[in-house]
Amino acid sequence: MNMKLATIAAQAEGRYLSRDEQQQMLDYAQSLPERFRIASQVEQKEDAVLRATIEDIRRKYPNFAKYHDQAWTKCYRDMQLVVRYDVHAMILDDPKYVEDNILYWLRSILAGSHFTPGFVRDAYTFLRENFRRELPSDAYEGIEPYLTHNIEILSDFAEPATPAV
Amino acid sequence: MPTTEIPVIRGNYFAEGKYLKTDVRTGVMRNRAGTRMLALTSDFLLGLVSALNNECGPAATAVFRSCGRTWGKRVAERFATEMQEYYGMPLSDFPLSQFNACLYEMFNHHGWGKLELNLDQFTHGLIIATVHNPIYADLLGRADQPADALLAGVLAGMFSYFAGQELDCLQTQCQACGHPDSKFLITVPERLKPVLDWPTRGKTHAQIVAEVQKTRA
Repeated sequence: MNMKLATIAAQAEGRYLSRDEQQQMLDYAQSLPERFRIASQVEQKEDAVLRATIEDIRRKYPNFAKYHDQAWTKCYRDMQLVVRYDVHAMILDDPKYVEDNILYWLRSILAGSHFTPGFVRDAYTFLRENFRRELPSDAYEGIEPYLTHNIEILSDFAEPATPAV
Repeated sequence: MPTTEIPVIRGNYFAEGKYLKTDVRTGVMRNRAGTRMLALTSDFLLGLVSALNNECGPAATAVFRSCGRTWGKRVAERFATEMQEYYGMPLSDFPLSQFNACLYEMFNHHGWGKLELNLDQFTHGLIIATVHNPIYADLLGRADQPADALLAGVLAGMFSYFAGQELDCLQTQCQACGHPDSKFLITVPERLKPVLDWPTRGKTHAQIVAEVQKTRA
């Protein structure tokens, strides 16, 4: 269940929902068609955005592929997974959903692979900026907080002793 | 950009809301692989320490380590099975970074504490594990000797399974003794044997690691 709805239900334990609480639930329910529309637009642009992002990263970090087997294919795959979790989180209206489901776990992998925080920040900033270019502004506004959240969480680790980017 | 040449990746196996399910009709909690789970309270864990100390006296630490070792091997075996089922490849094929990330998440979500592995000296046969908020150090609050013998045993058992050879683990630093975190040194038993009592003799983590580094891998 959506966290906000679950929280409202938990707060109303042992009593009926107030008008305000009912309205919050209705507002969320009424927002779902728009959330699905944004999800569909992200889905349609996903491949183009990811390809453009990989090109951006390749230009800025030309040596990256020397350090990692099938670097660009894996980079594409990981970013695709993050975007899909972002879309789920956007539909659920729950930024925390994406943290435990993918971001903290993936951050451990990126740090363990000797990526630098700067590389990850750049990569996921390119991703956000390419979505900004490709999506209609209202759709971008819907997904932007999640794309920004990716940058903040994923790049929050210590510099590696031996960078591999 | 083809994605079929590389293993399909999935998110965090241990993510909250997906990992544990409790059937309140039957009173059964299981993880997503169907393994039955039980949450243990602070009272139970402290009672276990107290009972073992009363029953075994000075041998209690060795008993904890031995129990932990057996437990740790089983945990590692189950971890390997579940990771293979979920991610679709044997644990031995995992990139090291993914193996570590999954292990960290298991520790976090099971409540053992926040694990960090230092593998810088892995090629010399040493693994250093740092655990923030380890369970017994946290529960005891203050102690004059390392408090996480059970966790040391668990780590020894787990890494013995992963390495395919008997390894031992010594707690070299304890959060309950005033340090910011607890540290554990994992290597073959013969290299740890000469320093097993060093933590209780006041030797620091760095001194113990330096001493073990002098021995041959």
